[in-house]
Amino acid sequence: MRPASPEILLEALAEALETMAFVSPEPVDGQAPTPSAADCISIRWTSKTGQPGEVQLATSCAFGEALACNILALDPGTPEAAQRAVDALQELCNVTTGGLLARLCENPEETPDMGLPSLKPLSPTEWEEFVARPQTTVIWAEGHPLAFRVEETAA
Amino acid sequence: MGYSILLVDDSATTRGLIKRTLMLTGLPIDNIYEAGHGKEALEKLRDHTVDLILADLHMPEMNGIELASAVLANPTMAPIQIAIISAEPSGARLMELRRAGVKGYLRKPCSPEALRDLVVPLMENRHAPSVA
Repeated sequence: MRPASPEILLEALAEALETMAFVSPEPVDGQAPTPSAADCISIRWTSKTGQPGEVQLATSCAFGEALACNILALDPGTPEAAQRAVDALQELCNVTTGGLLARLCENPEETPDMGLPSLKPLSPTEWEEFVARPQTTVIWAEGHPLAFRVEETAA
Repeated sequence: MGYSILLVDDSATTRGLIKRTLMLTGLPIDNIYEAGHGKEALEKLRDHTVDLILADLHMPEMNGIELASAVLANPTMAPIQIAIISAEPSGARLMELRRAGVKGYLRKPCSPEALRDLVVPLMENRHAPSVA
């Protein structure tokens, strides 16, 4: 497996956003605003032939709703949009992690095992700590900040 | 008469997305049933006859490979075509899927064209639907 990088993760995330939800990510000039309510979704993977790791996506809860609306053609502000927000973010993380691993696997015999997504609500302070950590990238998606990083973990 | 399809995925959002994508393929579809995992899918199959199962790989309770094995081990359900739609890169997993009787694999995210290219050959191999 190739080593993971923020650039490869961005490619996988952009593919997932565009194909699933017709959302084109845009760069952030300066510092992104701190959302009043945010979630962090993470997925770990293990591999027999490469380094295990974890993808983490953090974004405002409002983006989760916007994502659900785009994916499922729901009207914004409806109870269903709010209900599907976390599920939509988890699926975005799932598809992004799969896209990342597909790019990292150089040998078709390599099959990393992906775990199920886990969710952690972030306070404004935790959001600021998240975006301040090295290797974290922040983009705009539908007018919402979306922060992400990939970390290699201990085998 | 069109096709009846069972979507099996623990994400309701993904089921909704695949359902919408299926509608965009222009395929003749009469019924789309949904289940959140393999065990629920087997319960649905007791009440409904389907032509095709599109299942995720990783799900709680019963995963896609276990579901495929259970379906194909039952002679009354064996004619059902099964394909996996998963975020996980395929690679060596394809052999395991083929051994379990899975006929097709698509990596998420998938376009309507890719979904159509997966479903049409599977359905043509089963029977030609008579479009109303």
